[in-house]
Amino acid sequence: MNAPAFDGAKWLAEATDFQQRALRATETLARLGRVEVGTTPRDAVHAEGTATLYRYRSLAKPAGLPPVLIAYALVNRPYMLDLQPDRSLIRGLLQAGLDVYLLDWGVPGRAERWRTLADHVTGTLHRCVEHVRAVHGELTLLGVCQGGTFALAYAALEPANVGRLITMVTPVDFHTPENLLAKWARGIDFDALVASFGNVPGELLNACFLSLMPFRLGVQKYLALADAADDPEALANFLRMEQWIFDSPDQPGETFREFMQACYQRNALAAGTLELDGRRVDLQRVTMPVLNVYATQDHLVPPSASRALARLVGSRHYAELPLEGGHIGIYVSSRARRLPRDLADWLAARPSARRTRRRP
Amino acid sequence: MSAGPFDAFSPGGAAAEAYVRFARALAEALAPSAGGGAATLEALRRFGAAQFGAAQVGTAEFGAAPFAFWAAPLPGAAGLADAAAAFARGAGATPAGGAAAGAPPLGPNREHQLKWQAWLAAAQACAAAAQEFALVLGEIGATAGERYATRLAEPDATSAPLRVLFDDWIECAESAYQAAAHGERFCAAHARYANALVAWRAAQQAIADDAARAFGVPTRTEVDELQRTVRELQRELASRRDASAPTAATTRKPRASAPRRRRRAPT
Repeated sequence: MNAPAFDGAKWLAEATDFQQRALRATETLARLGRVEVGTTPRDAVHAEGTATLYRYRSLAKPAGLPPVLIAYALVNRPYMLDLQPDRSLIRGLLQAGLDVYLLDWGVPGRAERWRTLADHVTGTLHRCVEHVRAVHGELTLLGVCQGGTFALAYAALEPANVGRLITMVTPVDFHTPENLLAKWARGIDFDALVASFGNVPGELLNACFLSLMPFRLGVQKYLALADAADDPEALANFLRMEQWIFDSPDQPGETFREFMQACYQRNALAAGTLELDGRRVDLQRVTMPVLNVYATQDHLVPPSASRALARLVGSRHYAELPLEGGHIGIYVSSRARRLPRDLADWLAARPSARRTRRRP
Repeated sequence: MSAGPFDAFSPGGAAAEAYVRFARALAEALAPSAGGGAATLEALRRFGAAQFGAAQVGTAEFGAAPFAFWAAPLPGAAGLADAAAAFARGAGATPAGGAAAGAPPLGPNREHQLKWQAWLAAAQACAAAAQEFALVLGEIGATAGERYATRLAEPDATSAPLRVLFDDWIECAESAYQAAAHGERFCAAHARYANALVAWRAAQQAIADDAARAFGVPTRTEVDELQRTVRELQRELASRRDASAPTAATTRKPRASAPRRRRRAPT
């Protein structure tokens, strides 16, 4: 190639300007201190181990719909759903007149090392469902990401306990061609990894997630800080997101091992071979109305991994809601502001499982 | 290398420094003294390979540092070969003294020697796997450099702002990376590296357990077993409670709405 002639003086001026803006952004970030997250009022109504079931206080006239129980993932903390007052799925659901519960798995310590997948799904999640049903009679189960996989497994095992099911950015078929994490996972010796680490460090998972797009996530996004040097609100939003991304609990070792081997390596959920407590998880038994929300640019859970649910689920009332954005962006983008309303509309339009006939 | 006005421990500061270094490295690669033509292309290939290859030892500037985490709980991966070589020479850095890799395990220290030899073998396997993975990353970097050279040959490149050229570099690097990361070669090298690090870590843990035992400190293995027993008892207790608890159907108290907002909320 012929080396193009570049204007060195222009570059130098640009680099100097960039450094000054980056410095201003750094100073503003330092002044901002710690940002608040998860501020919507709530009460703990049930707890076991590190897990807590919260009930949020109502913010609007009841819509007359069954409550929504949100099952979050073990990876990262659930305040992504309530990141800030004007970007809060939970607040939006409350404002739509829904009663909202959240299962927060907490931050596992070494004592959780031997908690199994079944302990989470047929143990804690089941007891939280029972708690909500004891108060309200029926519920909508909303699972997020890995929590969606848990919710699906639970709904397949206990279909009578779940009136409606919403899955959000939930992996179902882990072996679709776009799933880079699954390709990497296939060669990893998870028996040895968990035997050595015990609980699997959240930092290790973060490193894996970052290495899916190392240049964009490791450098490019931080350059955007300089672009927002004079916008404290944008910097505060950036900080909130940054806090959530790296506030990563360790994963209970046994659950991690089972999940990675069963789902990522053997694709057992889609294959119908996943077993919990000796019971086979058959997605054909998921006969209640299902809404599957996925992100069109999701690099962690590719749309194909979520949309596989359409061909596996037994429900006659299956619907999809694609959202522009990535795995996280769907909660905080401008499009996300409509999401609570869309969910409430779907819930209002769909009969619960009790009024839904099984697929012939 | 100075962190300049930025906090070297914050990714934001590191990214800013990386940006400035990017400008410098690019200017060097494109300088007339680089020779132009094939020489400039080669300079850009080296430029790309350096960014990826550095990931292996955690010094990457352009985002590949996440790979270094696999080695984070261990002594620096860069020192692996040195440590293994020191042990093999019997440099006295270990309790096994002069027990090199192939020495027969004899005498009262036999069991310890076996564990140190296992550690050495794991360290050597780890160094080899790290080297293989670095090679793969370096090749991706060279490909990224080639893609970037193509981009820079476009007519608008000379007038483009530095930031645009930087974003173009990220695009070239990421696309080259994505093309390779889905491939069998990358996946296999990545898995071998990760598994080798875990095996080396396990070998270290076996030695650490010995040390703990010598001082009467509960070992990790013993604590693990206790926790497993506690977990089984918890599971049994929960199962009995579930069996004796009334079901939701018998305890239901329908209530349509949540309590109204009270004074202040725990979050």
